[in-house]
Amino acid sequence: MASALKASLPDDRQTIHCLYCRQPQEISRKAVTITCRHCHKSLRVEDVTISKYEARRAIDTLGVITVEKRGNVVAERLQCGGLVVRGKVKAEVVSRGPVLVGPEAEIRGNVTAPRLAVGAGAVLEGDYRIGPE
Amino acid sequence: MAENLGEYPTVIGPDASFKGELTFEKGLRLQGKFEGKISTSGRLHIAKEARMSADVEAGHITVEGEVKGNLTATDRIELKSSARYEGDLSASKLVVEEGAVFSGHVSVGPEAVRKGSNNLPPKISVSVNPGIAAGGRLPAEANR
Repeated sequence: MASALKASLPDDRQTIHCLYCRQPQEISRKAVTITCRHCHKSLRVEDVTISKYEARRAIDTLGVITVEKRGNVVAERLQCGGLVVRGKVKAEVVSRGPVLVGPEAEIRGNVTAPRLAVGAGAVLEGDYRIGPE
Repeated sequence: MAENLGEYPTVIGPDASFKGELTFEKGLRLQGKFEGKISTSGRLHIAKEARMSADVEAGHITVEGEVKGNLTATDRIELKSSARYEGDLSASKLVVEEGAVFSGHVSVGPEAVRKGSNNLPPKISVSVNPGIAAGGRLPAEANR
C-alpha cells in the first residue's frame, strides 16, 4: 500500500505526517513550511542546523535537526523527523526518525525515538523510549 | 557455540531456570530463564531465547533476549537487534543495534558508572569514648 502510494507520487511531491495530529498529507518537496490540512497547525518541513549556543522554548520540524560540534541547544522540547547530535543538547527529544549521537556528544533529557545510535564517549542522561511506537 | 566457551565458560541452557544471586569470574551465557541478581567483573551474554528479570552489575553486557531490571556495566552494554529491554541502565558505553526496543532511564558516559556508585549514602562512623560514655566524665576527672 505504502509502496503503491509512493510509486504514484510524482518526484516533486512527498508524503509527510503532521507532528501534532499525525495525519498524512502530500506536499511539495520544495515546501519549507506548511499548514496541516487536518489540524491547521503550522509545520516546519526544512532541516535545522545549530552550530552555536541556542536557548529556545521548542524546536519543531519535520526535517532533521543537526547540532554541530560547537552547537549547544537548551530547550524544553525538540520535535523532529531525525536528530544528529555532535555537540550538546539539553531538552526533551521526540523524534520520528533515528537519533544519532556522535562521539563525545551529549544529550541530557528524555528521548523518544524509533532508533538510537551512540558513538564512543557520548554522554546520555534521561529516560529513553527506543523502538517502534 | 564451541568458540564461545572460552569467552563464556558458564552457560545456563535453554531448558534451565535459575532463581537467586549469582556471581562468576569470566563470562556467562544465559539461554534459559533467570530471576535475581548477578554480580561479576566479567561478561554476560543474554541470548535471543533467554528471559531475564534481574539487577546486573558486570563488566560487559550483551542483550539479545528479553530483559527487565537494572543493568550496570563498567565497560559497555550492547543491545542487539532482537533485544527487548525495560529498566534503568548505566554504562560507560552503549551500543544499540537497529531494531532494539528499550525503555527506562539511561545514564551513559565515562562518569556514569562512577556517579552511580557515588549515589549511595555516605558511610558514617561514630566512635564514643567508653570512659565518657560510662561515667559522663573525662578520664582525668574520674581519677580525681
